[in-house]
Amino acid sequence: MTRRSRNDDALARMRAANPFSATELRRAITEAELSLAMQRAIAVGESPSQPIPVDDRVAREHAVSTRPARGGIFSRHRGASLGFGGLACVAVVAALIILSGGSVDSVRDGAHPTFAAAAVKVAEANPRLLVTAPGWSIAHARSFEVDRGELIYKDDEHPLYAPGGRQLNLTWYPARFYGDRLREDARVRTRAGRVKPVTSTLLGQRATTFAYAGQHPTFATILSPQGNVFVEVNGSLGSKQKYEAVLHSLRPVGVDAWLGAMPPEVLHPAARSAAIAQMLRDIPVPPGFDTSVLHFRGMPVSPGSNGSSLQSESALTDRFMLGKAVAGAVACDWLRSWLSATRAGDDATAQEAVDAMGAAPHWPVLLQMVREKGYRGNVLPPHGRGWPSEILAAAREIAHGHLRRKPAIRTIYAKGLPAGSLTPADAAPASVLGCLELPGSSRRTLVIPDRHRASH
Amino acid sequence: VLPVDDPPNAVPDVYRHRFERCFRDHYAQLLAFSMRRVSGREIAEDVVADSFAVAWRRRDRIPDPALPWLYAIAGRVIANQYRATRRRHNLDMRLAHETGAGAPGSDPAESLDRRDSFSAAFALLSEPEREVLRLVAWDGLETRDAARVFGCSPGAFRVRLHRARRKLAKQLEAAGHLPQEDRTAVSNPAEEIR
Repeated sequence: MTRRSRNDDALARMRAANPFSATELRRAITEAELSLAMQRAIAVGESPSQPIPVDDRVAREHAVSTRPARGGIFSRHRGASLGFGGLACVAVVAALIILSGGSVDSVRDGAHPTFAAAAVKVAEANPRLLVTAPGWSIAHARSFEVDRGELIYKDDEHPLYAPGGRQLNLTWYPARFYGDRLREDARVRTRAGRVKPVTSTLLGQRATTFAYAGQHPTFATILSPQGNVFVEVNGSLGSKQKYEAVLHSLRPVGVDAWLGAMPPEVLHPAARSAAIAQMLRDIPVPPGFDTSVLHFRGMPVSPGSNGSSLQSESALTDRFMLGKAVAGAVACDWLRSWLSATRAGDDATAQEAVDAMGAAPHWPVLLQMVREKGYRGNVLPPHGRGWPSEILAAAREIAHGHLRRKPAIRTIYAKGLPAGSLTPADAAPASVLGCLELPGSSRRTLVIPDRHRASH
Repeated sequence: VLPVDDPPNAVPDVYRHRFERCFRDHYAQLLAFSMRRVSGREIAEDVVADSFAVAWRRRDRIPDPALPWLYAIAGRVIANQYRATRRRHNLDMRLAHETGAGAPGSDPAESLDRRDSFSAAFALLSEPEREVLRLVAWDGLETRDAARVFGCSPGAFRVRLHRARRKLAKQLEAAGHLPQEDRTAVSNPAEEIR
């Protein structure tokens, strides 16, 4: 076989392995879906605060040619305006220090309810950095454990989910990954070339900042480890100056102040229970459904995982994730109930499950979840548009008397480590929902062969 | 970052029809393009929304054909907007592996089919090599358009494509899915790619 025909054959294999066909997608997308998607794109496009891509030469030339003087004025005055911003920031921090009795670290707030012991344990092991810049607060805690966690900060002036909304992520990881993370960031290349880190000192620690140019210039700052964890802050706030202003407003605080800054619905156990109860209120719950389990297993079982390590009492989650956990648990229970009833010939129970799942388009928890993703109205998006629609798809399947369990989510491994997960276009909704323990469901695994691993 | 100064807003609907036609013609293609590059349909839809948002702002200068232009926009959206997410995801996956959450759940040999073997070979290429192949084999672009999306000259793209194909063929050969090469025959990029 010649090299040329061999190469042609390789390309033919590649064509045959195309995971998503545009023709099939086009066939599957309805006119209503298309209109919805167009409205969404236009809404984002209409937002005046969205930056334009820096690589869009035509746009840049146009912007420069139409407003040359304004750009110049901005550039001359930016330093001064940020200087005042910085002073204001210092003043706010100083006021905090004075009000707290002379030390930011000693800020206490005895008014907070008792926190769960697990949450206090997380706080005690954490550097407990809070953004003190005016207008910024924690919107979500995506995860919250001793050696890893992620807080999403929002800016009141730029709402999180609105077009042009701003967010800052503050994550913490085990200290042993510090070197890996630095190397990983340093390897990143952009169109402008390799990203070069800038080191400085922040809060007495070595701070390494990476700048990624692009449509949304992003900055990431990694602080040297403190105790058993290190902290990374990253965000796309519109400019380097804005990012630095927020970054330099980070202050270490005490345990109570730190836990008190968490959003109540995700941190305070009582509030979290109330949120779960509210979500369950208008959902038909399967007989024997144990709601107490949810209080301890707030995190959803993510597709591709075995779910065990994510389900700890201390794991916190935002409202969307909580919604996934609650609605997913209820849906999986109904699907299980339907499966066993169908096998046992219990038509009444099977029909009960079909009816309950058939009401899913009206589940308030699902409607709330899709609104958070930017969809409008009181109708759930069609199948394939967001996680909630998978529940609808599973409901349709049992209504037609057949629940698919294959193909399922696959985990891809490279160099012996999980490198991502693959959701086939025709993945079974039950698999996407994370109903992994459904009898007969399959998890497929793709592994890079050992002989290749050895060379890496 | 430059502020958006959107001239089409001055005459709202003159270019709307052009945008709508472009959207309807290419939405599925752009969605497929994104789904091939990001994990999860939800994220792919976000990419498409962001890309068409840019197209909406530039609707007075949508080129014909529009598809390579849209692919280039989507490529930049993916590269810039989702880089941080990917980095975090990589570390999260490593952490999940350490704690056993994502440990392999089955014998790899039992579930690998031919397509999976292809994926394994494909995964061993560098990201630029994979992207070059995707543009031609999956997105169906001609060399000139693909070069534009990739951000290099057509000549440079041909060379990159030639090398990527050769490397993929080698990996497939190593995996036993292509016959051994006859080394007496030679080829060069100019011969292979027309």
